[in-house]
Amino acid sequence: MIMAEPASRKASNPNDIPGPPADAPAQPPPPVALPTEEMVLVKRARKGDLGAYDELVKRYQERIYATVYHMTSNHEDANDLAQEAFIKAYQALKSFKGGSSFYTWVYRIAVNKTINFLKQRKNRQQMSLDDIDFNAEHDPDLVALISEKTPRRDINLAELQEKLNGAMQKLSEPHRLVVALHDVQGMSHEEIAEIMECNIGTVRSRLFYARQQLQALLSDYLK
Amino acid sequence: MSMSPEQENFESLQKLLALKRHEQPPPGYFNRFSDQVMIRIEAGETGRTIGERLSFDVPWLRRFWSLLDARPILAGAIGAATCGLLIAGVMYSERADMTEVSPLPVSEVAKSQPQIQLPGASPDTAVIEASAVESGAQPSLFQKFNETKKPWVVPASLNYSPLGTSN
Repeated sequence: MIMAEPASRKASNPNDIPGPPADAPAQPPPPVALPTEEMVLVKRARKGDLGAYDELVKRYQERIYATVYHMTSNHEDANDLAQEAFIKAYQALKSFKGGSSFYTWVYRIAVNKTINFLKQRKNRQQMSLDDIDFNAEHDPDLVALISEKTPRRDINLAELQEKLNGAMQKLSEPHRLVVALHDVQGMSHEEIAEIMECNIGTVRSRLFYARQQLQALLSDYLK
Repeated sequence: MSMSPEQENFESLQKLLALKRHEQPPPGYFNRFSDQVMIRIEAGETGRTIGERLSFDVPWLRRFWSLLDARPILAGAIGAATCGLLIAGVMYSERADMTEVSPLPVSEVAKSQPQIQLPGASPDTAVIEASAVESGAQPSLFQKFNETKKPWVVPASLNYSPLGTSN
């Protein structure tokens, strides 16, 4: 099973080139209309309807978990942080004004929680990686990467996964987050800018530098 | 149209990063996830300390904590001031207790010690009464009882008769 990806992935350009510098004029994200159904669920949850909140959790649990997991490279930490993010969001529902979508708002909570956590655990990084699903062996891009472009042809997917996660962990938190949200989860620059509460130029520039760093770290597996 | 080497390299990197999309938690994990969140919400368990809960619920306290977090010298100064106030408070209260207790001469203390006496047979109570009058204190209930010296009378309503006297 491949993780759920937002619809915006199709719209985003996979071959992004570095954008304007970080100090480019901020473009306010377009106002996001709250889908009616989601708004109803949020209103009901705000009144204490746990069934409605359960529905909201089910909608976004995979994406929130995935983001936290790609940031931490640790299943147990991702599980705790994702759960805590949803609990915190429930407790703070009264402060949710509806200026953004519920999804963006929960994302912000999860991301902030994860960054705080990562700052605290800086010196004890331990990976606990999720298994690679069966589909990966049939992914033509990955098969090509391993069999043709990688000089170390004896490498298997599990090793590659470990190297990739190790390289991700060497990035700073903001850079790792941009890569996880854009290149792994397929979010648009606009969505990322809204979640990270920065301008699109900053997102583009962080993405560019993060990719450069990753490229240097993984050079053995890319040529 | 040919791509620049840089773009091409990024493309390889993106293909490699696609591997992360195949990383999956154990089967059935997401079936249990929301249940676990709901259980924790219902139990009121947040995974936070009391301090975190307070700082989350009280905005000014959150700002205060962040201020202390940002300025360790200020936090140290406030901590030292609090300790100083605490020590001063303890010392002041001890001193106040000492001044409130007026020391009695040894003879007065000796007189005042045996105070358990049977009603009607207490020649020493006069000493206590005299000292009470001297000090201007209110007479105690015991002293009032001694003044009246009334015998204990069983109320008639109880219809009490000692053993062997009833008809």
